[in-house]
Amino acid sequence: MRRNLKFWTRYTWENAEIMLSLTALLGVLMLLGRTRPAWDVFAARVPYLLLMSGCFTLYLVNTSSHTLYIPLLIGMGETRRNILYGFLYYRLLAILTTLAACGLIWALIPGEISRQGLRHLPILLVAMLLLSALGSIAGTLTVRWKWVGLVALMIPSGIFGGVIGYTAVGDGTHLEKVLQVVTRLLTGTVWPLVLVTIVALAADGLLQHRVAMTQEAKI
Amino acid sequence: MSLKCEHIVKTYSGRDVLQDVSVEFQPGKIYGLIGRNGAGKTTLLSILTAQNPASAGTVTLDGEKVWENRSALEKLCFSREISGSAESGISAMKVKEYLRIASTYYEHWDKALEKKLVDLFQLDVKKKIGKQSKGMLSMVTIILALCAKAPYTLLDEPVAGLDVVAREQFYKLLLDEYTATGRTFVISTHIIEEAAPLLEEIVILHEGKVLVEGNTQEFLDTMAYVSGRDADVDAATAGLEVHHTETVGRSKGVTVFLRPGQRINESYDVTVQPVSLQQAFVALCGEGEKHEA
Repeated sequence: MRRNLKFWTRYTWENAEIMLSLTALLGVLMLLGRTRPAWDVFAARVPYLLLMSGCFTLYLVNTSSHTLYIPLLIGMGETRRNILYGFLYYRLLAILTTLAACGLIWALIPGEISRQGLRHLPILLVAMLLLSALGSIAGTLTVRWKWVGLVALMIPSGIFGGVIGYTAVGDGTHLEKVLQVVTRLLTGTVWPLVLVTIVALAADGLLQHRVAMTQEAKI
Repeated sequence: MSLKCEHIVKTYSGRDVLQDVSVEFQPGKIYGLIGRNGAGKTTLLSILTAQNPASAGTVTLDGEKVWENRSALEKLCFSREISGSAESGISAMKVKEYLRIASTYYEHWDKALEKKLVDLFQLDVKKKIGKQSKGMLSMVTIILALCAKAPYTLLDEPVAGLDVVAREQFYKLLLDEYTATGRTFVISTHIIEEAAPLLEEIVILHEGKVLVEGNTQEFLDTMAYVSGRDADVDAATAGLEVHHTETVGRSKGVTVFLRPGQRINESYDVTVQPVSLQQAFVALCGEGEKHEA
């Protein structure tokens, strides 16, 4: 289990590099806007950029984990059960680290944005768990049907591309509008979101188990 | 103390690829697993190492079930062909990264040997798997097999795509490793003639079933090539199991299988010769008859 944890911990940090690159890209686009925000406002918005990039990375990586890394590790002689535990550990580590970083930034920078951010941390956790489960479900389905994976990748890539484009063409406030809409959606639908997340996590667990136990480690 | 599979069945889309296969691999030996394309060799190796679930049957290592058993899996290494095609997700991974993951998971990974082999094969580990040639990918699988230091190491077509120099290097490395450690190796190969001197034991798979299992020399002693005029050959081999026939005009050559107590009647004007492993394999699994005018 020690070697398994070592792999998945490193995997988390490697994917964090992708997430940070995306965050930096969004941050630069925001700063290049016509109405450049004040530094403290910008800094308080950074966690939202981090969260957006985090959700996107988590979703994409969950999809590819099932088609590449899980069969690879089976091939290296790890048990399927341990691999699934490791995969779950990676997801929780990625989510909790991202949220902890956001919380820390908000705690250090006073203001309304930070206060709201800190208040919304629990629902943001639920949203990230949901996206992580959906990405993993897409991944397990991709093992059987490649076209599902293609579609599953295209949808979030399109959305994220749209966000980048929207940020690039407008000034910094455009991204803030997106974030406001998303936050309103999340806070206005807390219980349905929690319920959907529970269902998604359960479906993900079942699918993962079914696929992992019948999968041939072909790479 | 052995790696053993009993009554293994594997079905793909309603087709039985393996049918009631039972084989035992004793420690400290080099086994050859041979069979024609589609005979079920890779499927059997992947089931033996729990990389593929069997439809029925059990695999045990030293009496313990292998499936989902970490302590048993630690003693096994299956080095299978890597697909470097663009469709494969692994094509974007660098060889260095692949070997790093392997070194993380194999408890007794030999880092010094890895470096030595990378230098020997002149492998560019910074290059992506998808950019490597077939021969280079075979070298990666050989490095995995040798450096993992697993007591039971199974290799699937380890020399595919390798040139003759690299193949000779591989056979020498394998023999050195075997002599030094006494590890068990199971090698699936189509290049039978070259690998034959290494193979102490042999398992021949044919159409999903075990056709032959045992000591290579003892198996070869049960087969012979008999040639001469067709009438003499027929008389000398009457009552024997004939597996392969070649006729050229009135001359004839047959490969026969001798059951215990059976012998060739050499009172006729025939020549009896031993057969190589490849000839024996072709006789058993080939088309049977070959006629030339």
